[in-house]
Amino acid sequence: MSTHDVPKWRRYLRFWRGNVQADVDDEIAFHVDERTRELIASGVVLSRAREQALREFGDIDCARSTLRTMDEAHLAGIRRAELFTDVWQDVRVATRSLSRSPGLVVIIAITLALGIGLNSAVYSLVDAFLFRPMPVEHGKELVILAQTEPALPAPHELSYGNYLDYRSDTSIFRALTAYAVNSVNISGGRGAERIWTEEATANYFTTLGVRPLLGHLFQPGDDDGELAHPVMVLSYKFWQSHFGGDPNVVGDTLRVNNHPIRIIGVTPPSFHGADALIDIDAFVPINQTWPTYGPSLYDRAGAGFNVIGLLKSGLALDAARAAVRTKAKLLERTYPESNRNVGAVLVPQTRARPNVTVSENIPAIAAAFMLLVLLVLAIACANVASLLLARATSQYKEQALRAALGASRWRLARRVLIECFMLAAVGGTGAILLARTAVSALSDVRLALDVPIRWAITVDSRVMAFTLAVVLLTAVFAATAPVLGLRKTNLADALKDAERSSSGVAHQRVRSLLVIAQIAVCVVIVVCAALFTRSMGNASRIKVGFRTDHILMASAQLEPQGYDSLRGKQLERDVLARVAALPGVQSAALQRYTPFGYNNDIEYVIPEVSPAKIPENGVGCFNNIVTPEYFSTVGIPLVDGRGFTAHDDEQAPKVAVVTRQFAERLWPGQLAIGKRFSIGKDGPPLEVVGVTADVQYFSIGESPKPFFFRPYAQNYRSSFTLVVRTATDPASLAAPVRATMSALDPMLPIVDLRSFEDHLANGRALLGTRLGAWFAGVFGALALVLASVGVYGLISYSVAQRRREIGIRVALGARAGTVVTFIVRQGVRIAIVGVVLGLAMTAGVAQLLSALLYGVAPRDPVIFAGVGLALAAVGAMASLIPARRAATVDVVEALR
Amino acid sequence: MPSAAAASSDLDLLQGTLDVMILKALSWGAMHGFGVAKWIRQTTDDVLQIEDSALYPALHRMEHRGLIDADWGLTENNRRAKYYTLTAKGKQQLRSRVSTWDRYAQAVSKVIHATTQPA
Repeated sequence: MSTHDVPKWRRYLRFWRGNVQADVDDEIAFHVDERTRELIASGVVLSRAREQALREFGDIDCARSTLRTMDEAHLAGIRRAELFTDVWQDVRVATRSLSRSPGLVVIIAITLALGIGLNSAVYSLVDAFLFRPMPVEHGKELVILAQTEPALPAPHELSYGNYLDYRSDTSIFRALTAYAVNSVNISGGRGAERIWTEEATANYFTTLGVRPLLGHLFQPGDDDGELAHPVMVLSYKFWQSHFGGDPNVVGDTLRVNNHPIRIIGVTPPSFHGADALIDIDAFVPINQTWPTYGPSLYDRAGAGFNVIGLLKSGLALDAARAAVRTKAKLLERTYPESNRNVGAVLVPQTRARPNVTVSENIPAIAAAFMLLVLLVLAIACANVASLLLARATSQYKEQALRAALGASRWRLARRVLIECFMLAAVGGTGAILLARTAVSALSDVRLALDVPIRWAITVDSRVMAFTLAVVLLTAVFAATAPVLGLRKTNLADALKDAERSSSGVAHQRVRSLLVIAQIAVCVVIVVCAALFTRSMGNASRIKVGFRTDHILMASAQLEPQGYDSLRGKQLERDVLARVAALPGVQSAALQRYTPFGYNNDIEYVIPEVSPAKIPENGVGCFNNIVTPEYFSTVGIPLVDGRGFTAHDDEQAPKVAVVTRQFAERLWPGQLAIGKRFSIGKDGPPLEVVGVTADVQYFSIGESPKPFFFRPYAQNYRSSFTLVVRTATDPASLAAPVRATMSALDPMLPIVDLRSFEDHLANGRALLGTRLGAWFAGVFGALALVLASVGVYGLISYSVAQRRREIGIRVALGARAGTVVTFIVRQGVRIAIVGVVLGLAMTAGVAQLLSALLYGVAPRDPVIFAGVGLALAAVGAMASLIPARRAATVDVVEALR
Repeated sequence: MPSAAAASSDLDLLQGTLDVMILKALSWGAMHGFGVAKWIRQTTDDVLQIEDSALYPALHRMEHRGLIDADWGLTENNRRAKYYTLTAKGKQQLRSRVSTWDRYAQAVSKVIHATTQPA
């Protein structure tokens, strides 16, 4: 009973399979049996002996359960510790084995950082435009109410009258606010300055759910009456920049458009106004700043109020949509004059960015870009998987040995996974840095417009969470191929020469497929980049109907400064005369609207007599108001009649110059000169005195649309844009033009001083295409680099695998050239398969981009052929280095 | 141990005593639980009768603390039994416990056999 040789196998039995319950039962049973036996030996009767043994033991059930609980807890602790030790050991092994190939680690980390970082950056953009709720208390519930009209392609703002009707319908909305984004002039120490306000109903802040940082916000009734409550709430940014964050600002008075206004509060730093793009400076109640709307506020035909609110509690969006449609029908019946064919739509605030009028395509564009960057990440992952596969092959014997020694597949797979997680984590860290850089570059994108734009893109916790998810996904994805490779692990094969084993060939096949996929994906992106780039080139060459070079523009708004039409006209005349006299200025004119700009006017024209079928409301046309020098300044040719002259003034009969398309639409086949038309049913008749060639106005490359011009002298407007044709670089005249204008009125803010080319390239017209070209260009270059590395890696690996074969060929007399050709052909073959596959994929994808393309078909054959050839060439180039290496194989060494 | 009342009134001391007796028992070599109980009973001439239901939790606790090792083995009669052996840590523990016990016993002994009155 003393020392015993315990069989060793028992240890292992217990090691692998501890059975607490049976052990405890056995141990106690043994004790009772032994005691029983002892008692019998000492003379106790058999039947009594067991009873006594049990009695002596004490509470046997209690002891049993105590022991079980103790042992189970102990065992669980051991298992936890073992798992931790195992994983920690895996981490250490992975670290050691990765640190043996630092070059590989760097390449993988960079590859993953690029792939993940681009995703994070683009996601931060998508999040800002589509997902992140407005940073106000009711951000997640806010909906936008907008009006539709058959003549307009997108929903637009409401009239104030219609807004009030919707607001009063509490069966749909529990709160509804309206606001208009307006610029006002403030004067102070810095001279004249234009700032951006939201002029809103009194319930604006309560509807959104904004609390004051300082002072208080609008009170109910603040929007009652005109100039009755001249108050202003400052944004945090404006408070900081103009008042240095002075807490005593509440109660101060500011001069806005030359009228005093009282500051009542400051909003928190997170609030930038309801507009998704403009970083609003201040907030004022409707009708409380000069100039007020006057009675025109209630004109239902007008529009211009953004309407945002909260649905009645428990009302589903679909039900609410039906309700506003019904309401729109009711309004149409009640106000047939103004609301004919006017419908209503409800859009969640997150789907109405940056603005409900342009947000329709945002999800599609976002999806397209998300797809593009995911494709880049797919390339990165494929490359990493490919590099890991190559490494797995070199570690083949070790793995086979570990498997043979009893390491489970799970254990081996876990090591690969841990390795991939570590690599992805390093890549993810780099990705965040990369994303921050990219986002700050994106935030610096400026529109050709003097408006404080705020992109609201940040790498915040939401983006971090997204990145983490992508990192995990990447690790799993990158690990898949190497883990699947483990399935083939076979001792017999491994202990033969791994280089020539059948599994090596299988790996090679997987690697070839990965590289083919990369080339295919690369083709897709490069074709997209080429399409965008061609579009940019085409767009700048497209004839828009007037000259776009050597044109400088500057804008001013006179009305807020208190100009009446008499003083305004005088100033406009003075500006034209003085600027035209500046050296370097060839001619100067004024226009009310800038082509391809953000501010446009549609008028419905009705001909006095017409052979054509004209809608009852008239034909909707964009139009412009210009001074006589305009046509010669921007080079719009007259094809008939005359342009405007100084004689076309208030006393003279009202005249218009129309485009050829306008004449064709209203008076097909007839002479337009001398014909008359009116704006709206009741407008005074305008006589056509001239016909110009067609001009493009709203979007570049548009088909000719009816368009007309009216003279400034007969149609005074208090806002104008000065158009100057210069002999030299327009930028060189910016300072003299500003000085000239400021000399005439130092209190007048001068804005949007820039060349027309700048306006075109950076403005609304080409922004989407330009950003598209930029993005696709960056991604294309990246994909190209990654795919080249992929081909290079594959061919290098293949050359290493086939050293013997190549050695034999050389030994048998193959010349270096033959070997090089033989290897390069392998690379080219793979490239061609990838290119064919990629072009097929592109044919499907490119159609999505057609809205952003100019003068190039989504399946442009030249681009398709060019990119295909280029990538085949890349395949050849990437194979050349390993091919050269193959040609210099040392025969003796290779055949040893 | 004598009584349940005593056991609960001075558990630490008793448990410490039980532990040190188990360590001492195992210092002779590997033993199963029954062997430990029997050795203690015989050695103390049945003065100290350890309740078996208290012995086993002590053994398992000491095993979890690494003072003793446990392994399944076969008895002379070819029965499967759980054998406990002292670990290095257990041996060290035994030495320190014995010297503590000696000092304690001497001190108590001095007190109860004292011949000098308090001053």
